[in-house]
Amino acid sequence: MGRAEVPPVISVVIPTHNRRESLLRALDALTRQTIDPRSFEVIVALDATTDGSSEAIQTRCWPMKITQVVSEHRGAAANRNAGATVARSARLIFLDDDIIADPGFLAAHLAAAAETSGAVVVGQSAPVVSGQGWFHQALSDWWRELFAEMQAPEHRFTYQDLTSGNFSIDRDLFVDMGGFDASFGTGAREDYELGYRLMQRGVPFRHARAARGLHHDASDLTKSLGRAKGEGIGDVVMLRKHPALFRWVRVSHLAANTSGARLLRGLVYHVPAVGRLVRWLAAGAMPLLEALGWRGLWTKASLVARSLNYFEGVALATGTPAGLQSLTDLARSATVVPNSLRFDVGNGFKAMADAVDKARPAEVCLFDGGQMIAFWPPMPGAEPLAARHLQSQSAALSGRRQLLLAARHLLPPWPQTDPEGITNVVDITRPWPISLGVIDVESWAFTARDTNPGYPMRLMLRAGQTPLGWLCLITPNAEGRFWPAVRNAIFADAAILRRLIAACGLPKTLPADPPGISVVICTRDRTDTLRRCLAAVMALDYPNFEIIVVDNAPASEATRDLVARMPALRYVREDRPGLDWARNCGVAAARHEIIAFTDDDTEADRHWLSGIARGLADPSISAVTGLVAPMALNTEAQVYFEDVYGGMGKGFDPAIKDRADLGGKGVLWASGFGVGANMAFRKTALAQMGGFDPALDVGTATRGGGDIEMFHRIVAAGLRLAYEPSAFVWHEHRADWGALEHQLRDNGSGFAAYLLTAARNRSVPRREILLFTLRDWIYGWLIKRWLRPGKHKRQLIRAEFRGLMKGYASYRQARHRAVELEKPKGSEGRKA
Amino acid sequence: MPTKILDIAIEETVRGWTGLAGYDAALFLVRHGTRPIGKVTVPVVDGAILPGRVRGAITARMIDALAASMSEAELQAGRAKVILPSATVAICTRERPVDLHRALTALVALDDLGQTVLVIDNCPRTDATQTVTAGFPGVRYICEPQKGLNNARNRALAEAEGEIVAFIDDDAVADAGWLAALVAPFADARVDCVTGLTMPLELETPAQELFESLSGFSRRGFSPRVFQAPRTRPLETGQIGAGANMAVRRDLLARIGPFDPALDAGTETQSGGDHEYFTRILRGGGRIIYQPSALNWHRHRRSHAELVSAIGGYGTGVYAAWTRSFLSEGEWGVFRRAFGWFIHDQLPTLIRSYRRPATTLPREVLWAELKGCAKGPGAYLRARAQAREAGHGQS
Repeated sequence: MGRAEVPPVISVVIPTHNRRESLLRALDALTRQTIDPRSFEVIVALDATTDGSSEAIQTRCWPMKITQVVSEHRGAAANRNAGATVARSARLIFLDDDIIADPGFLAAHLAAAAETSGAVVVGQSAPVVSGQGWFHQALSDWWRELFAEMQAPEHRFTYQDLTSGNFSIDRDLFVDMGGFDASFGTGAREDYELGYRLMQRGVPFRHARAARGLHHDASDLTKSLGRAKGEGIGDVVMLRKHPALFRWVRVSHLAANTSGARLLRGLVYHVPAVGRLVRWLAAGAMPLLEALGWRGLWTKASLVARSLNYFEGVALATGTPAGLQSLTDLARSATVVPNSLRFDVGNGFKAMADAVDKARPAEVCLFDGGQMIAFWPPMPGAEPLAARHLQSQSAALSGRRQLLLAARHLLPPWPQTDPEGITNVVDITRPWPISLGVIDVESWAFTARDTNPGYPMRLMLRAGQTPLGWLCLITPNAEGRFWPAVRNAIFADAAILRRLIAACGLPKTLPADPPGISVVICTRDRTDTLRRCLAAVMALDYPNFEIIVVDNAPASEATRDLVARMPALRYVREDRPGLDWARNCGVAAARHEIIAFTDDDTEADRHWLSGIARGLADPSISAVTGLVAPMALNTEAQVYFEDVYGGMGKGFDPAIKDRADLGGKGVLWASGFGVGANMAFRKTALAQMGGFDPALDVGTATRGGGDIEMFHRIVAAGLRLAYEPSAFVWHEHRADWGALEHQLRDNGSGFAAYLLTAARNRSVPRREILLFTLRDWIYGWLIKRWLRPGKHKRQLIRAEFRGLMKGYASYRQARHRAVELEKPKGSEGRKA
Repeated sequence: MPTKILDIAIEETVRGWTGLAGYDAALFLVRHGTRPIGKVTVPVVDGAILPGRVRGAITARMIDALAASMSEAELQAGRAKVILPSATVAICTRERPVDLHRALTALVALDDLGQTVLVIDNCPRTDATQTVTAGFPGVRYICEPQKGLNNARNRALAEAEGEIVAFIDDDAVADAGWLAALVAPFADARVDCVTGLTMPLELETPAQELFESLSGFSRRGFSPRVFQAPRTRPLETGQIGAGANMAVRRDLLARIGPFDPALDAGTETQSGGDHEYFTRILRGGGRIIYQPSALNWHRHRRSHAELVSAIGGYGTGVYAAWTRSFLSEGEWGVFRRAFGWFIHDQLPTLIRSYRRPATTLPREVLWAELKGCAKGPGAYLRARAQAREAGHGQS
């Protein structure tokens, strides 16, 4: 020995304590290194060894120089420091005595150190466990997982990656840092603590996969539980030194203000005997659970036992709850403001990668306009972020953020200036009136439906012809801006984003030959709303349609005079009172194969008929209903009807109603298929059905149900009905409570009359109708709502109920009248 | 009720299709770029599908998958190239020259990752396989005389040069991006095995339709999944995938041993070799990834008789694999699993097949599965004895 005249390039420090055989095996492995044995030295740091390790080393002849350092029992940290002080080379490797190094071990450490000068190089310790059971499997998995994560290119190193059993560091750096902190004594965590200080200093960490050794981990369950206690003690010592780490260390779980944490504190501080009992039970149950094959419970028992040990260690180190509190206070005063990078994806991901590599921030917030779409959090004791860390970004993106990233490409650039005339006065005490408006995302065209728009605002978002959903803006954004608030609302709504991608991301449906459509508007002495309705219908963008106004048993000639003033309208008069008489009259007068109905109190969207044609483009569809949106939400009654009662819209997703999918109950809920204010049929389907039932709907004693009954009859007969939201109209809801109450009463009697008609026609078995009436409608819809009204008003539920009670009598009366009215002409309407 | 299989891009979903006379429905695999994002079945009326129908049938789920694919494509731009481990493709075959020819035609057209292709001819009776293979320069022909699919798989592991060995059946056709997608997850050192999405190559006969609904090959969805114990129980392998479309890390051979030669086709146990291997991987703490973009197309058995025997063989294989897990690994959970399968699935279905036959599978298929299950343990013991004998004979 003593042959080496030149100083070695590397010093291997092996701390050991009474593990002679293991130590000799580790030294043996070092004799088989690929590099010249004279180019490195080994320092064996013997910590109060009594098993003759020292003598065993001396009796053998080694190709490399071995120095022994003997110290009294002061713990692993002091022992490693003692070994390092006698090292003669510039680079230190700390190697545990239970790791059998591969032949390329030292070479790989040197190569990695040469690649990044000054770096801490963490080698790979492949676990070899001493048993077969689940504990050993879990132990081996833990090690494997640790190194597999370090191998991932996007891995962000933290202080916890410094595995003291196998790492290398520059000696000068180690000495300058003061080495391991010896105050940890025989406890654990001195490696994490050094790792944290190295991270704070900005020392780069690298993982060398090839610097591999087989780690003979002799742990068993008992040792591992004991170690957990040491970790508890060690964490407290570490936190006293580095309080900024508090939130990231498990000690903080004990200090939390939750019932679980309080229970745990009681257990470990006040009744430690109970804690020990629970721990003993959990640890004792583990072999049993393993024998039974109950892996889930075993994992839980293991967690309980380890955690209780850990927190017992914490309690031991802190002494009293006050000690824990002082640790918490210390942590609070040590808050660090992280160096943060905010980046907008609009500038591209490449630019972001460059910016992150340049700034090396502690946290990165990824924004899209005002919306944060991804966040890489700061973490004390972790290396600053680099572009490679962000490469798992798609995993960091939730489903909604994926939708958002996809959708933002489909939108045109955001307008810079807000639309004029929006009064920014927000009165949050009154949720109404609500201003209505339309935004077309294809051009960001904003159309207010009120003369004096203001917040709160409800905006229908549309992409050309396709409506995408409602945006509710209660206020503008923090700077009082309109468009940023719109953007945030769009990006917060996954359903809208999905419809946006479907509408704009996929190619548009090819335009078919527009079929001719007859628009039938039935009215009775309401020229003021009819005028508005006709104006909208005449402005439709559809190339091939006619308008028929059916004047139903008018009291004056006002409607005829109004229609006469407008060219190109057809006027038909039906003297028998009843909306369904009028509808049948309109059908008889229609010249085209498709008949679309709307009420006189609506205002059709410009693309209404295109939507109808789109719904009927499929020849298997016989009827189409569309979206009905509120024309105004100026009064509480209107807001109630739209938001609480459910309004008239059936959502923004197209649907097909087919008897085969619906079942008896589904076919009977025809009120969910659409409303008469926006519906269209093929003439052939109406002929097959025999027209609308004249005993129903407004103008008769039943006061409603004609439209629903037709939807039901069509679907029950096996024809298909489509709900097409791109065919939409605005409807004027009742403005005052009295009118709303009447309307809901009519809904009740209309629905009852519809069910009676269905029972008479036997469109579904009567047993099912009876069951549906009692269980789904009367109990499920009326009684349940009355018992737990929530936002509903009991007075209005009672009105609906009153309608129901009168339903049978009014149905009898209306039927009688319908049969009577049919007699003189006998040509139109449904045969009795 | 034949179903036409169509492979389309998302942009094509608006167009119509004609010339589908004779088909009742069409199954569309929809892609964004090359990545499959969903499938949808649309009825065929008078030999045609009207424009817009496919688009109308697209569900919210496919929109989510489309969004994921679009955002992934964007994120890919700023991402560093990952070095993929080297790969070898192994195709184990026995006397199916026509299928093999089709499979090899697809394999030689794969995106080039520097892979090699091995044909393992298992216990051949004729030289048909060798003749077909000779027509594909660059494809290595290896003859494995020991009968049994798992013997062939082990031979492939032994002969392969690549770090990863990708297995494909001789009656399956690989998509151009199949191998690249299958190998990509191995960049993560924790991954030991990857399975892919298998779509039907054709659904021309009722037997093929039935097999498609039974096998659930293409039912695992279009988003990647991770399987690892304890979250995935080692015996719950049905959801992971199948040997028709999987890749394993070659060093598994050293870590968990070879495929069990007493299992799978060519032995009395008839199947189960792949699933038993998944069980062992999971027990060893390994991670298995389901990667739907690794797409191949499998020709299901055409005749009803073949289907019934395949289902019976499946039952045998499952029970044989469980027998092995119990005997070799002491896995007691197999009893619970067998009991659960019988009580919660097999028995109720069987009862329903008598009460409401229209709603379930044909009765003889259910019975075939049950009979197969009953044969499983015995079949495994006999096959194991045979395999040991053969092993002694060789050594």
